[in-house]
Amino acid sequence: MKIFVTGGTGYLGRALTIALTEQGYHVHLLARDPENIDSFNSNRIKVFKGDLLNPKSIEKAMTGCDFVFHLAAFTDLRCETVGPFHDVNVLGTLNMLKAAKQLEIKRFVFTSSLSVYGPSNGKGPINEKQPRVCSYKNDYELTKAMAEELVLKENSENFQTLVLNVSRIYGPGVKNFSNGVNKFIEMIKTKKNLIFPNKLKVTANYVFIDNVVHAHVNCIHYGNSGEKYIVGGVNCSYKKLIKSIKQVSKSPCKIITLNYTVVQKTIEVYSFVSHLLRIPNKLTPTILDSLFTNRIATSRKAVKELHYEVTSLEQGLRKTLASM
Amino acid sequence: MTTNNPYTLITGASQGFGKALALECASRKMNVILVSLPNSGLIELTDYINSNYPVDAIPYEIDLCNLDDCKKMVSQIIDEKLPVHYLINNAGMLSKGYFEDLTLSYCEKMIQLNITTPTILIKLLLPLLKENEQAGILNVGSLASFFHLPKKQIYGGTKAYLMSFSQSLGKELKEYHINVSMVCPGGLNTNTQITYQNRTGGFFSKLSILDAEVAAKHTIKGMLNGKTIIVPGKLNQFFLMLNRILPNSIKQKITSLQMKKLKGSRAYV
Repeated sequence: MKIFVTGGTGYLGRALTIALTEQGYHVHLLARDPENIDSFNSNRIKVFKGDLLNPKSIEKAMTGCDFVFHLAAFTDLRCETVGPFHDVNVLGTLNMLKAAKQLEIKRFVFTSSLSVYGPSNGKGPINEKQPRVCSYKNDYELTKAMAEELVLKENSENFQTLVLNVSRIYGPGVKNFSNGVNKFIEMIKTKKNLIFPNKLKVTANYVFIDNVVHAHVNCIHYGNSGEKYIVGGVNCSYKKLIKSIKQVSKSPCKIITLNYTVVQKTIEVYSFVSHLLRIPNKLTPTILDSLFTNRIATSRKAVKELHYEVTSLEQGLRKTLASM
Repeated sequence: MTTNNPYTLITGASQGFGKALALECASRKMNVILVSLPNSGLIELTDYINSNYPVDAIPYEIDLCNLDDCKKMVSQIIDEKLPVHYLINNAGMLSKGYFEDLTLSYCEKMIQLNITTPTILIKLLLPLLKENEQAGILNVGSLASFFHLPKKQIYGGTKAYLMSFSQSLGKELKEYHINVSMVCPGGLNTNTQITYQNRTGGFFSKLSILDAEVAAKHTIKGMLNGKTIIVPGKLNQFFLMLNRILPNSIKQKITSLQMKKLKGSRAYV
């Protein structure tokens, strides 16, 4: 069986592609510049040059495949306009769906984000039935939600679609800006002192990359079409996360807390100034807000129906730190 | 469950501003009766409110354009002796397109849902509202009821009806201690499509956009305080003030500029 993967050069996509070939599947990858990607050690992978905004290139690369994993997305929250988010995440997904339907793909798995559900409310964890109760906080959340609507609308008996809402991923893999948790782990491992906003109680869901890969691969045989699955791991506060990282890495790193509002205002001012001077800015108010939003979630449904096991935080951190 | 506590009936509650109003009421520990079309996400929202707030939420999946359905719902509410203290007429159809392009049934349905349904619901629920020491009616209008914009002919007209109706009715119902409020929101971030449109707008329109939950907070507070006209957002209040003081000739110019822009985009599409 041939499987089509977008975003195969990214953090999760690369791990998924390797896992698929290890299970004997042939993979077609869509990449914007195939020359620039680290080579895969497998003859089961065929890389096609193409772009989500170029329907012809998608069709060409998808021909002959039975199954689609659509992971590619524009995730850069530093971007201040909705345009690039909408192009890649909404129009790109629309192009993917059109091609997949035309080529009679059996199943289309769309990788989305837990953030589409909004924050957890302090009572129960986020589950698949939770309606969106506040407006969309950034263009990433918004456009992923729009894409989900498109994907689920197309679900039918002949063209099965499903959505995986993945929480914060960590674990060994390629380094890029989309795996902030790894960067955070590395900072605590290597730094003597770390300045951190005093919202240490903020709790989010962290999932080990192998679990996410496993859940994806299992979508080939399991999972109900037309459904959404929250693929998550462990709910953990910053306080507990920092403590666990320090324990496992035996790092002496000292956390110096700073008032959150002060941090927020400083970033707002800095963002404004760098916007005026056109200096690239790493930490915008939008990013800060998304990092300090409670996202406690339950993956009971995904664990049960997609048959994956959640790796404990300690074990996950051990493997992550060993790879650094 | 706190069934002795008063209920607020909200129409069009499954999505958009109605959903935000429902959640705001729930967070103020007000029980809610939520009315929307079947399969619009109403059951999910009701379940969510019931399991996350200390209130009772009751869903009614009906087509509000069907007056018999409205009557049935109200008689059920009366039979079950649900103490309805507030009625929020939020359900409505948005404008789309030029008058000459609209179908007859679209025009009819819009007038039905935006004018007839809220009027009839108030009529039907009035005996119940009168039983309370303090009660209120909130009609959801729009800033469009002040500005006469192209492509919003019927919509703006229906909202202007609600505005006039609310203010007259408010005078009549004062003796029963029933406040009649009208909320006139500008652009709101509600569902994905509208939020996306809002984010692609111009600088001023972007500034005036409010998140639905922010506008809902302002609105429910105004309703509970018995405010007659509620305009969420400082910039919208400013626009409204400008509209009151600017001479007609200048307003005409602004509108015709807008019209040219629209015509241009129409030719392009």
